[in-house]
Formats: sequence, C-alpha cells, structure tokens
Amino acid sequence: MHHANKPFIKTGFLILFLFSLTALVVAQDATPSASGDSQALTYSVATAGEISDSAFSQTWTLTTASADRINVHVERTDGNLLPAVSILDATDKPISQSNVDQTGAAAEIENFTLPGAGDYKVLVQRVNADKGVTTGKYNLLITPLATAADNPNNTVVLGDVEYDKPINGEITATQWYQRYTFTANGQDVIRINAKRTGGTLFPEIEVLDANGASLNKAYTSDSGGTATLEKVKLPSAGQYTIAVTRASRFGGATAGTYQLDVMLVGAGEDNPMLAAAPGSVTYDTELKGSINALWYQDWTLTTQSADLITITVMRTSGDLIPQIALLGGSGQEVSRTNASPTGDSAAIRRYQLRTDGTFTVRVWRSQGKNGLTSGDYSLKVELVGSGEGSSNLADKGNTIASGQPQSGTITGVRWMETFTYKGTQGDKIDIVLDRTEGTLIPHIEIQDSNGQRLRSSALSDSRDSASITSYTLPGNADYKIVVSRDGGQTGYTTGGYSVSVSPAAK
Amino acid sequence: MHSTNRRLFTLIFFLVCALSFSTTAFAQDATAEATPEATTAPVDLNLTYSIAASGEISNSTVSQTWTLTTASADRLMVRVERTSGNLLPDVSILDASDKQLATSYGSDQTGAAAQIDNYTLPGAGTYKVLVQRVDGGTGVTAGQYSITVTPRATAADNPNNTVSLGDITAGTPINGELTGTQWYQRYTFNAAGEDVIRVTGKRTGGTLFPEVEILDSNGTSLNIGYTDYGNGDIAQINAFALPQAGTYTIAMTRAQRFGGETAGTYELNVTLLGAGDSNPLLATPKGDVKYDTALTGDIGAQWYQDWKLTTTAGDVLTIKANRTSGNLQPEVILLGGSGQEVTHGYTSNTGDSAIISRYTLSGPGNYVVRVSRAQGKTGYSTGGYSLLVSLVGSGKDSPALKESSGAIENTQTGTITGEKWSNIWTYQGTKGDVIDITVARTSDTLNPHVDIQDSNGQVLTSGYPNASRDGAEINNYTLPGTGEFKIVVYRDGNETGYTTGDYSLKVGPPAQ
Repeated sequence: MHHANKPFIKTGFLILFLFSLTALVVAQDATPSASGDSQALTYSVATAGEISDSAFSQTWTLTTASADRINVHVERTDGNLLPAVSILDATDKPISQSNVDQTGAAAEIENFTLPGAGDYKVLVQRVNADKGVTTGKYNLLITPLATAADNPNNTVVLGDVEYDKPINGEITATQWYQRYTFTANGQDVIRINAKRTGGTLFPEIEVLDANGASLNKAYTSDSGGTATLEKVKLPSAGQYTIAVTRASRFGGATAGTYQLDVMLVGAGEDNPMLAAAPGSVTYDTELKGSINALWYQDWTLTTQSADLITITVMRTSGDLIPQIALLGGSGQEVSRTNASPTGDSAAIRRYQLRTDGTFTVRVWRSQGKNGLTSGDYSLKVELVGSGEGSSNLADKGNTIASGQPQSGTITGVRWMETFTYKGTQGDKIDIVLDRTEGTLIPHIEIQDSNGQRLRSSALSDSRDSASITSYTLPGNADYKIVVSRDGGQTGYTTGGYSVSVSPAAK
Repeated sequence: MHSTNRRLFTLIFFLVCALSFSTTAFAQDATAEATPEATTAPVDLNLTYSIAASGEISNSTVSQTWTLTTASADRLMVRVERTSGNLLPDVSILDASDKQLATSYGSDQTGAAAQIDNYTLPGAGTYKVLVQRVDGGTGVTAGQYSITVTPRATAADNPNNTVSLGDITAGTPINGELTGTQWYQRYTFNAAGEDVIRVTGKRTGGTLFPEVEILDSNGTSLNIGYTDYGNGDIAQINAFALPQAGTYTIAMTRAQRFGGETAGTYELNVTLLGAGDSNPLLATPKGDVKYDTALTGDIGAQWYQDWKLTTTAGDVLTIKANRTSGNLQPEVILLGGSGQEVTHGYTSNTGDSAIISRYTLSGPGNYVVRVSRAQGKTGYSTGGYSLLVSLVGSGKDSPALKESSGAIENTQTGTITGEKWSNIWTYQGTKGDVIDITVARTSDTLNPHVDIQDSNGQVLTSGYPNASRDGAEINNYTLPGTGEFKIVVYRDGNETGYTTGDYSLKVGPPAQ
C-alpha cells in the first residue's frame, strides 16, 4: 500500500504544483489592473502618479479624522490620459466617482461628504480601464472643503479671549469653527464683534455656555464683512466659549483672516468690579465719578439724623444719561429718579430721610447694565434741612438781652438758632425777628427752660419779619428764644436775620 | 318859572361837578393799583426773549405791565425774581383784552420769585406780562425785581423753524445749533435721481437729543430718524430711497420737537448710498469691453458700471467680476440691445466674485456688461473689481472662423483657440487620389475633429476622433474631383467646446 501510494502522491503533488502555477499566472494578470502602491494622501498636497497599459489604475489611501466634505481633482500632466477617479470605502465599494471632464484632461469629484472618519481609497484609472487606450502621468489633489463639525480642529479651544484684547485668527476649510474661552466675572452684558481682515470670510459668531449649548449667534452683516452681537446677557459668572465661524459653517465656502473683539457693555450685578465704592459723601461737596461698563457707582452717605436732602448728578463728559437711586441701610431702594428731559442730569429733590444711619447714593446710567451711555459726572448731595436732633442744630449757648439785638444766619444745615434770655416774672416783652439778607421767611418761638413752647410768632404779610408782642413772662427763669425759618426743617428759605428783645411797646 | 329853572340848573351843575370830583378821586386811588405807564418815568416795558429786564414795585406802583410780542404761538417760561426789598412777586400773562391767560399763583415757596413755568401762548401777537406784588393793592411788600421770558420753544410755524438755512450736499457735513427758538433747522437737498441716502444727525455739544427728517418739496414728511436712546446723541435714517429726482428738505430737530427740552450743537450728514436709476452718475458707460482683457472699476454710490460689448457674431462668453478691494459683493448682468436683461450672474458663495459662464449670445450686436453689487441700489457693499470677458467660442458666423489658415500639401501645424475654434486649410487634390488625413493634438487639451469639404464648404466626409480624444483621422478617402478641397480642423463641441491647443495636420497617401 505504501509503495502503491507513492505514484499517487507524486501525481497529486504535480497537480497542486500546476494549479499553483496557474494561480500565479492569473495573479500576475490581475496585478496590472489593480492598484499600484497604496500610498497615503494628504489634504491639499498634490501627488503625482502614472497610468500605463500595465498599470491602468492606481489606488491611494486617504485617512480622515471626521466626515469631511472634500474635493478630489485628477489632472493629466503628460500623455493622453483620460482620467477617472473614484472614492472607495473600506470594502472597496465605490461611494463617489467621476469620469473625465469635458476637456478630457481632468476628472473631479466636486463636493463629496465622506460618511465618517476612517480610511478610504481613492482610485485613479483611465477611461474604460483595462479596455482603455490612454496613458500618462497625472496629479492628484484632495482639497478639504470642510472638516466635520466634530473634527478636533473645530472643537479644540485655541486660547482665551479677554475684554478689549483683540484676537486675530484665520478661518480655513479645515478649521472653520474656532473657539476661545471667555471668563465672565458676573452676569455681564458683553458686545462681541468679528470682522473680516482678509480673504472672503463671511464671519459669524456664537456664544456657548460651559456645556457647549448655544446661547446666542450673530450672522454675517449685509456688507458681508462683520458679525456683531450687540448685547449678550450672560446668565452667570463663569466660563463661556466664544466661537468665530463662517456663514453656512460646514456647508460654507468662505475663508480668511479675522479680528475678534469682546467688549464689556455692563458688568453684572455680581461682578466684583462693581463692588468697590468710590467714596463717601460729604454734604454740599462736589464729587466726581465715571460711568461706563461699570454702570453704577455707590457713594456712602452717613447721617446723624433724618435729614432732608437733595441729590443732584450732572453729566460732565461723554454721553452719559445719568440716574440716581438712594438705597437704605439694607440696600433696599428708597428713592430713585430718572434722567431729566434734557438727559444730562438727574435729581432727587428734597428727600426726607426716615432715620439717621448709613445710606448709599447710587449713580447709574439710563438702562443700567444694558445701557450704552458712558461718561463722567459730578455728584452733589445738599443738606436742605438737618434732621431734628442733629448736632448741627445744637444749642451753642447764645444769649440775648433786652435792647441788645443779635444777628445770625439761617441755612439748611442750621435752620434753627437758640438764644437764652434771662427774664423776670411779669415783664412784658416784644421779640422781633427781621430778615436782613436772602430769602429767609423768619419764624420765632419762645420756650421755657425745658424747651416747651410758650408762644410762636405769626408770619407777617411781607414774610420778611416775625414777632411776638406783649408777651408777659410767667416767672423768673431762663427762656429760650428759638429763631428759625418758615417750614422748619423742610422750609425753603435761608438768609441773615436780626433778632431783638425789648420791653413791650406801650 | 325862569328863576326856578335857574336854581334847578345850578343844582344840577353842582351835582355834576360834585360827581365828577368824586370820580377823579376814585381814579387816583385806582392809579396806585394799576400800571405805572401813565405815572412813572419812561421805562422801556417791552420784553425780549432771554433778556432780563428790571422793574420795581412800590406802594404807589403796585403792578407793572410789560409788553411781549411774539411771532408765533410759543411755549415759554416767565420768571420774576426779587432783587431788593421784601417784594413777594406775582406774575401773570394777559391777552390783548387783559384777560388772564396764565398765572404764577403768587410767589414760590422762597417768597423771592414767581414763575410761570411752561405756558404755550395761544398764537402770535402782543401779550401783557403783569408783575405785581402778592395781594396787589392790599399787599404790603415792595422792591425791585428782574423779569426774564425764556422761550422753551417757538411754534412750529415760527419763521425760525420754517426758513431754509442753505443747501446740504452728500458727503459735506453741516454744523449747526438747535435752540429753543430754532429747534427745527431745514436744509435744501437736491437729488439727481431716485437716490438712496443716509441721513445722520449727531450731537456735538449740549444736551441735544437729535432727530432727522426728510421732507418732499411740498413739506410732507417722507421719513424720520428718531433719537437712538441707546446713547442719546445720534439719529439716523439709515437708507431711504427718494421717490424721484428733485428738491427735498433735510431737517435737523430735537426729540419731541416743540415739546422738547434739549438743545445743542450738531453735525448733519447726508451720504449717497446708491444713485437713482435716473441719476446721470450712472448714465456714463465705463468703457468698452475687449475680450480676454482685464478691466477695472469701482462700485460705491455708483452702484453699477456699464461696459459696452460689441460683437460680430453670436459668440459664447464667460463674464467674471472679482472683488479687488473693499467688501464688494459683485454681480454681473448682461443686457441686450434694448437694455433688457438677458442673463444675470449673482454673487458667488464666497461673496467676492460673480460669473456668467459660457453664455451664447443670440447674435452679433451691441450688448452691455453691467457690474453691480448684491442688492443693487440698496446694497451696502462697496469696493473695486476686475472684470474679464472671455471669449469661449466665436459665433459660427464670426469672420475669424472664415479666414483661411493656408494651404496644406503634406503637413501643417495649427492652433485651436476660443476665437478660432475651427481652422480651414486648402488642399489641391486630383480626382481619384486616395488620401489619409490625420490630426493629432500636440499640446493642451484639444480634442480635435477633422472634415474634408468641397470648395463650397459642403462636408464630404468627417473623421472620427480616436478613443484617446487626442486625434482624428480620415482614412483612404478617394477624392471625387480635381481642384480645391477644404480640410477643416475643429474642436469637439465647436463654439461651445471646452478644449484648445496645438495640433499637427498631415495629408497624404495612405500608409502602406
């Protein structure tokens, strides 16, 4: 059996050898019709190849990181090659192809979006392939029209953008969405502008939150050269992404350089920039400040009593349309006023504080955080009338005697003056108070030594004098003669006076 | 009876005298309360806007009447302020019949002043301004005062507000000032066509909240630009298309106009954004088109430029405009012999070019190549451009195609271009001769065809292009007669073909 098998083995071996030889010949036939070297292609870099009768097709490899939109162009550089080009997937299935164009010198897959990231084959061959008759050299160029939105180029953060520090960049097909990190210190209102500085770019801008959700977009202006978000109200302090892109984005066709600007329009209420108080208020003293993105300034007003005040703010430069608010001890708004009809001033007039304590005078602009006006201002808080109990009104120990007139001045700060008069029981006296200057409408009162009112003057018809006549003193004591103005703390008048005490006229 | 009458007459006379005496005494009393014109020194009691005047009230002159003459129903403020004494002033405005129109209701809370804050007179005319002391004749105060009448706003029909202050031209700013007495300032603007203009009023000083307005020649408002309350210092009519050529009024005013409170200096600008179609600015052709020669121009307010194209045949053209500066978004338009639009190339996706590709003219004649911008007259883009009109293929009747390329005996070389996409060669043949005609591309992309024609141009036979599209052959053709034949080399697609290049042409007996 062993011997009998030997010829059989020899025969089988011969058959196998012949079979393998046939297969080798077939493989050699097949080789010219298949691809040549499967070389890698790089975007935007031209590659040279050659089609001959023995190699009528060549296969190139293209590896992409995302589902890009591309252009494939093959152009004859020599010979009479009529080129055709195809894109094949990993299973060698054609997913896009182009025959030779009308010049016969080129073939182009013009605008094809790859189905995903991965390896593709680009097959260049001649028209009619193995049955074709043309040959020659060619150039192959893959031009990316747009990388996919999830391509790392379009998702990477390129750096930080800060207020008033322009960023210069360039949008290309491979990087058409450029991200910058922006850190907001509060619920700021910001303005973002992107401007083409070169190329064909139709700019667009977008603001994204920390999760990448879109908050706002600005489209290309009519002139095509800019995109602006005038007022973006950021919802909170934190990190945002500001992106510059192009019109139609993945489907867009423009590219070019740009300048990106971010400007603070109005700091958020929680922005620490607003926290710093510029100073303290001193009555009747002009204060100066500025409003801009820091759209309000708080001045501290400390009072000893429930004063009557007038707060006035005047624009001194820029286009500031000022407003004023008065805040109470807990920051609550107790009074506010808008700008005057002329837009350059605002006033809270004759506001009666309810108590002594610490208040805030807030100077701000029309429309507050969202406003666009800015400029310098002057602020003045006038003491119209010191509150009861104020040290401004304290008794200075002035005395007055019969036949010895005294003079003085009534002001908002000191709208009341007290004179001590030593009287004798039964004396009948006249007390006369005359205005000597200003607008003072005088008022006079005689009080006992405890400050209890004994009698008040009547206002004269001419309102420039007041008098108490034929008043009989009830005892031997010190009396208080109180000189003040009509209306007391809330009165309108001020000025000089002369006061006298004399025996009652017969 | 006579004596009785005389007594009666004497009694009546006495009574009349007594009565008149008593009346005289009343009049004197009344004089003290009334105006001083009849009794005091010659004081000028005429008031002029914004000029303070002085007066005095005394026990003998408890009131003074001033005269104010106005040209219109102005809105004004009257303020009287004590300057000496203890006068508690009061002021009223009276009409011509002494009827009180407005009053301060005594003095203010300081007692030193009286003010009619904001009163609009019922019309132009003469008014009396009565200054007196509180309680008039029974009052007790006296003193000197100053009186000022401040116009808050003259009426809209006041000559100050209706007069034209001059001309304004596009591109030349006007500087002016609005006041209470002249809060509507008019400028004459002459438009050469249905122009699109921008009008901008900007505050340069004061408190002015500016407004701008365009009026037609009848004074009818066409458009208003209100104060931008974002910053309060600018007003703009961004793009307004005037209905026709003619005279318009461009007015600078303030927010709320007659009722407004602001005043200040301004700069007023008119910008021509797009000339109207009838504007002569657009009428002048920019120049003549020469095929395949770059031309340059600019688009701005002149938002299109016309180039004249004269053709001798129904040529196939490609017209392309490229932006060379600015932000121009170009368009190209081809107009026919009567100015009708025959085709339009819109701005490309990249925004910087426009193309009319491979358009076949209907025939010879005069055409206009118009370079315009996106959105035309109302567009915003401007800038320079280059224009290129390429001849893709001469029309079939073009003289260039009828010219002979010369005679051929054996071999010739030639060139196919867009202008001459067909070359005619003459060949002297003898009846019965058998020939091969071979054309082979020697450069570029040419996909050649070849015909042999009789002397009248009738095609005798055509050669077929080869599979590689770089050559064509007529093989073993037997000449039907003796004489001149035409061998025509042309490209695939003729005048609409895509290929060009050099070739070699060979005529001779068939190869053995």
